[in-house]
Amino acid sequence: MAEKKKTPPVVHLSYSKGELIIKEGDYGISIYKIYKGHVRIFKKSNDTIILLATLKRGEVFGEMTFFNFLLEPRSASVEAIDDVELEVWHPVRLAEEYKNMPAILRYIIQQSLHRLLRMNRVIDELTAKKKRVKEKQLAAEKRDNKRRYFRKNCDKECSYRLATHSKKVNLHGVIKDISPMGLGIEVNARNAIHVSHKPGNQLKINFKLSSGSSINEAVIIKSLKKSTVPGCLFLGLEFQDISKDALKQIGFFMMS
Amino acid sequence: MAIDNIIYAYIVKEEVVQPNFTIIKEGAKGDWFFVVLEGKVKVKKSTPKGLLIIDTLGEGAIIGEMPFLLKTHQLRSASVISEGVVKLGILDKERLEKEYESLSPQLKSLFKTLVLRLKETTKKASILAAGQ
Repeated sequence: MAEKKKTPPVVHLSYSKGELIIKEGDYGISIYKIYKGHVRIFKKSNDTIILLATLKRGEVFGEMTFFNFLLEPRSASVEAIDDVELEVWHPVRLAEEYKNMPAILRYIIQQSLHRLLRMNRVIDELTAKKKRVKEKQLAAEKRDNKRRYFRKNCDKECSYRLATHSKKVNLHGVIKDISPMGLGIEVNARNAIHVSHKPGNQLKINFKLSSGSSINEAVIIKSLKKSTVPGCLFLGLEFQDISKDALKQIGFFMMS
Repeated sequence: MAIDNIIYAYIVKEEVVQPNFTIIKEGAKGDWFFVVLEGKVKVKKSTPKGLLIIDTLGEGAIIGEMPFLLKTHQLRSASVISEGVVKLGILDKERLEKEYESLSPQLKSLFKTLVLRLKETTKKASILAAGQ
């Protein structure tokens, strides 16, 4: 009888393809050993699904809760890839054995556990960073494409000033290309002697379209380079919060 | 982290290594394992972008324990290099093995799972880090 008491009941469970066995965030203490089939372990981080591992017969999962000892929510989800049969271990007896084993073994295991948790955090951070970089690249590409595709060349006089300067100090330039996103203007290099033309600076620009309508908008300097004309600079400008009316006028101008 | 007496009881030999000494070499054979008694070590893994530091471990850290817990003679999965002067304690593998063998098969497979998971995530982290 004593023997029988020590042996924990082994429970078998079956899952079909696609069924969730463990859900991230849920509470559970069972440990599973795969008797038949395959499972995938994954977690969600900032709306991205990260595949952590694919396990087969003989492998164990659900062990993290056991090692953490605190009743923490499951750190990842587990899903059946095909028809899966599992052996479920109840952790109570194992926890008892863990508590009574030589302290040095417990120490070694704890060290491995800490490193694993740290690596998981590193993966989370790197995945989030990768996603941010990709989104930035996509946004930049989109912007570049727009400017590349809808640019119209012209030779149009304009006046501009730093957004922070008084309306009286206007500088002179020539618009060389125009698009709904921004402008390319050529200015005398002397303009930059007293007024900073650094990329990032905000300007107010004023010009007249052939239709007679006057455009008065805020732009930001995106690029600054030497023009092909000696003594001149070429500024790449991007509209900031351009008014609907101005956008319409530029649209008409580009089609003309 | 202070080193427990529990660990000292299992140290068979102490060794001091100079800065930038390769204690464990990725891809090499070997199954001895250590505890860092003083100093810091860097864990490095080879990636398409060269050797990358994936972790730094300090006093009290156990290194080279994977073959012991996996019970396989696989090649070392990462390099461990001393940052400054490092004092290592070589652990009594035979005594530890005897104690480990007395554990139930279930508990042993749990430990094996833990180490396999650590190996996978370390690899994954190094691939991600190389892609930055």
